[in-house]
Amino acid sequence: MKKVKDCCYKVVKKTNGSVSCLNILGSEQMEKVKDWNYKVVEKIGQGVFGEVYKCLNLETGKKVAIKMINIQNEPEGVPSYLIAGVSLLKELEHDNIVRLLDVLTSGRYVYLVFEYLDLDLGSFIRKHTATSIRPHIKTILSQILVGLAYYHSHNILHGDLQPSNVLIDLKSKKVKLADFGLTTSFGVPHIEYSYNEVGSPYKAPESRIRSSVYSTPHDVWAVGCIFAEMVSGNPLFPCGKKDHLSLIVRYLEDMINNLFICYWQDLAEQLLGLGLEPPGVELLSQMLYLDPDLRVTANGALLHRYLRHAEDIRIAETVPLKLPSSNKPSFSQKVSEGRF
Amino acid sequence: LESCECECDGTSFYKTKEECEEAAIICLDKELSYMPEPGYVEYLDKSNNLPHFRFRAVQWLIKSRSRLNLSFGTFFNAANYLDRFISMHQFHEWKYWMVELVSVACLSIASKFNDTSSPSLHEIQMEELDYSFQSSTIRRMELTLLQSLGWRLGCITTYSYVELLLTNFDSFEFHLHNELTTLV
Repeated sequence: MKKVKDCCYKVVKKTNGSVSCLNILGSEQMEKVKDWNYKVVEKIGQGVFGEVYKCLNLETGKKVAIKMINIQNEPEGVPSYLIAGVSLLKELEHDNIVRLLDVLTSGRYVYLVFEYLDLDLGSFIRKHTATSIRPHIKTILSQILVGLAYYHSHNILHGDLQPSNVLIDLKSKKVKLADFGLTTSFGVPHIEYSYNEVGSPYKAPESRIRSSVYSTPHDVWAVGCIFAEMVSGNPLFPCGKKDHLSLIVRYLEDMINNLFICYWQDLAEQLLGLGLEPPGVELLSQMLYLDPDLRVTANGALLHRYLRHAEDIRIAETVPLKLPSSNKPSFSQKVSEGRF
Repeated sequence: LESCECECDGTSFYKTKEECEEAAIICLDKELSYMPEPGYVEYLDKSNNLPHFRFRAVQWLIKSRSRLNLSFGTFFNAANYLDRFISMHQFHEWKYWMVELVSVACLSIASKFNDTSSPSLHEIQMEELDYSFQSSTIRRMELTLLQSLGWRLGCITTYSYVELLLTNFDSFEFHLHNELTTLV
């Protein structure tokens, strides 16, 4: 147990005699949030840019996620990813996107306060069977697409769409997208999705060929993967066992197309067998189109006949807002360079 | 809108006249929320040294923009941050070193927000400053500035309109030509 102490863990003896360990690393800086009326509940994630804690707003009783970012060792002042990222997040306001509620600073730390929901789509899928999840698929899919269309209309790429980054509020039946760079590892089990060597199983094939290429079709591909996962209950391209796509994309494009058509036919039959309606299969095929230029856009997907009767489609909200300020080349460049 | 030029390879970003007008309306609408606090001009008029300090700071921003080869948008944004920050601290006893420190932070933040690559804090301070500040001091100033501005950095400035007109010059000309021909 002594050793445990050296590794920044605090040994806590409980009244019943059992012993548990608490990670106290970073918690000292988190004490600061008390001054702003937040109570730390638990640490829920550790990303590249900082630690994420689940907290309680003592005034409103609402749960929030606070991301703590240390900028102590930044020789060039406040890092540009933080400046560009936070100012963009500040401009975003949409029902299907997790809100940045507040930005607090203290000394060398910046605290980003995000809206928090307890349930993510990954857990939601695991809790349901193929039949019990079916009535929810259209609503969830359309809300993901509405949120994504909003991002894309502001020239923002999500970049890391996966079930664990899709949060669900059961009461209001709202689906909200979390993450995108700044909120990496938003307090959810990443174990089965984090395979650094091969990348996320939700990554579009073109990103594996030319890693610098990054654009909106990329996100749509990921939504396609999520869509298929909701239908089948399993990741479409599980990285762990056999990474179909990584293998496939090494060959020439013709080869890719031929192989993918075979693969696709199998998959389509499988999903039809699982009860997905033919229009759903059609939409999925448009989202998983290998050529990113021909892949359907988020707005295009929303207009597909499969989602015609889905609830909560608010296409009107996603009318592209083309603004000089929300249209930064530097930002998209930063995204493509992986700096954000 | 360098962005438009980049993404559309120099062609006009707004495809229709309506889209362009809509963008201008949104700009006008948004601009108001990026203004200095009310009474700023009167405050500048009343104070003894501040107009001079501000003039020098803006001059330094202009020179630094060209020396560091930053975008024009960066300069206009930095000047906007400077005015907004000073206007928020109207009861402050402003000294010149303070204005200088704020301008360094403004330029640094504007560049990090706007440009693909930003100069180092050392490079920013290389010329024409009376004072020299440590990185940690500038970082603290940056944080104070960001907090004061509410991290709202995508301001609409005079230059936003110039960009809007310039990048859409082709389509303006086209629409104008069309309208004239229909008249004839």
